[in-house]
Amino acid sequence: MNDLKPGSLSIQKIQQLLRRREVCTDELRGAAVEDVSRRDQDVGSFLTVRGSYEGQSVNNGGTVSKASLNGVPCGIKDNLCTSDLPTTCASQMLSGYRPPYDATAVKLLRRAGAHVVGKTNMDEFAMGSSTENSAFAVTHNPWNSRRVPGGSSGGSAAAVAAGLVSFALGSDTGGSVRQPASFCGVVGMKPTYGSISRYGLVAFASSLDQIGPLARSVDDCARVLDVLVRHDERDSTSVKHPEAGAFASAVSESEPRLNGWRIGVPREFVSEGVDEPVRHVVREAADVFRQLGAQVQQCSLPLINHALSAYYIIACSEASSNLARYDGVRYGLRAESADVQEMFIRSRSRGFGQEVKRRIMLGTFALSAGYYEDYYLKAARLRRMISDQLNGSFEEYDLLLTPTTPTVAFRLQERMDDPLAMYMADVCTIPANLAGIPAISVPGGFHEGLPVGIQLMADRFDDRKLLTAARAFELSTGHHRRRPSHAEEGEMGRCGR
Amino acid sequence: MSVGMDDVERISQLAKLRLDAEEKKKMSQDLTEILEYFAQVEEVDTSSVSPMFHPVDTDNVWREDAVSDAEMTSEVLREAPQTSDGFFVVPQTVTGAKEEQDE
Repeated sequence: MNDLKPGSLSIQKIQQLLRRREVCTDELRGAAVEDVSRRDQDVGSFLTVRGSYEGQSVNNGGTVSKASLNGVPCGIKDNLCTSDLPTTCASQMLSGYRPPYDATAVKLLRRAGAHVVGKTNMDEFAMGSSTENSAFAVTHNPWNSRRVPGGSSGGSAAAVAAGLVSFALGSDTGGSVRQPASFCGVVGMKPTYGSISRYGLVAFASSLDQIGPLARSVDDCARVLDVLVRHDERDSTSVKHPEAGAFASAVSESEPRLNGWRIGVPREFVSEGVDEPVRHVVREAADVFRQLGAQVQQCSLPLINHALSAYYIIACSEASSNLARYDGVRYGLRAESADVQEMFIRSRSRGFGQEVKRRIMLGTFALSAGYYEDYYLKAARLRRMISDQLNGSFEEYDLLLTPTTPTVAFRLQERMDDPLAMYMADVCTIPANLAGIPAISVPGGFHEGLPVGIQLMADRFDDRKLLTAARAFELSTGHHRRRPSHAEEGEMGRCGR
Repeated sequence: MSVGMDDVERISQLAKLRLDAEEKKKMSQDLTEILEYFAQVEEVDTSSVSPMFHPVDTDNVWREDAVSDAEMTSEVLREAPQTSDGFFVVPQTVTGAKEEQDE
């Protein structure tokens, strides 16, 4: 019996096994697919699994550099284009769609030797906070199968938490990487806007969308970022990140200290709207940072209370424009009619699910004549004010510490009939998207057996700082090492024995 | 801000969506509730603030208007519901033009 479970191993561990020739990459690939096929039935994190692992660029032998992801199994959110696997955005609209190319992020991972095991479940077109808006599958939280994994990158978070893959990619428009990371007890990071190319990421709200990694440690996250963060001329919003390639080196110290660091805890993020057990975890985290040498103080960002409103107006407005491309002409679902206008209407009405329609309607309303100034423009002005206030706080603080989510993972179905309650799940994560700053969620503790994440935010391009502090936190608490019961490690290979 | 059935009808036409009676009713309720929550932003004076449409204030990025990836045409067309001779096919959009000219 082969008990090799590559997805339960860290990147460093896999590199070590390969270096010592205890396993080979082909064996890792085969075992990863087999393990997912067997164990994902209970989790439901994947929409498509690559049955055969031949044909992907295999980078055997040679030197295993530190940045290399040789043989490392990963999951890709199903809104990132893959030329060899369907890309559906968990929508009937794109059921079975096969993109003609790989997204830049996917291409970079493959070039580094990573093994794309399959495509992960998500809320339709990344709109949602529980992955329940998927047209195809239900994903369960590996810590408690009656709870949601969060969303919209819920499949990616659950797959990592269950040890099916070493890391996964998600996309984060208002918290869609960090919120499911928090609910599933893994690390999720949204780097500075523009750091990772969005070429081949199906657009939701282009001024907010950012790809980010989910992994079981800050160390793994940093290694993935070293591969992904680079300028791409195919994305006009791609930036030249001054710290590109230096992320893993930011987390290499074995006993990092944060002497002299200043960390602010904005009181608006720990108000009554946040559950007490979550606030408790944030207070404990503040103490951990103090023990690491940092000064932790309460601060205030009063405009944050309006971030949710500004966000949903902006995100829905951009979505209504971005999703206008689904008209049954070039790709995706077409509902036939002899009349072209009728064909557009029927295709869109049949292809989109309820939440997507709701957001298109909201966005169309906010952009329509007579309402544009009061809604869209007002929200864009507020965005400036909120962003200025956040940026201003980094003159005083290196980092901001907040909860990632106001609650632990809620029950499946609990919020499906109440869109506003669902939107509230993103209240702590949205500000970073509005301002384009980097933010990370790391496991901060547990409440009744469910993980609670803490969020750190930093100034634009201070991604290294974020990783350094997050790594110091995880090493000193060890919360990230706790795994759901059925996701035990397996590192025994056959090759070398 | 209350979003009535007439508003829902008007917006859905703009968005090229058709909702049945039940969907319309639910949409009217949901949008009203969401916009009532959003109404709290009215208390913030934003009159002197310039809108922020994008987190990075970059200049436009230009490239040569040259054909690239032309060899991918067939792969791109592969995903279209209907094609002919390298074109996307849609239901007839212009009718009667020839007949009118002939008259």
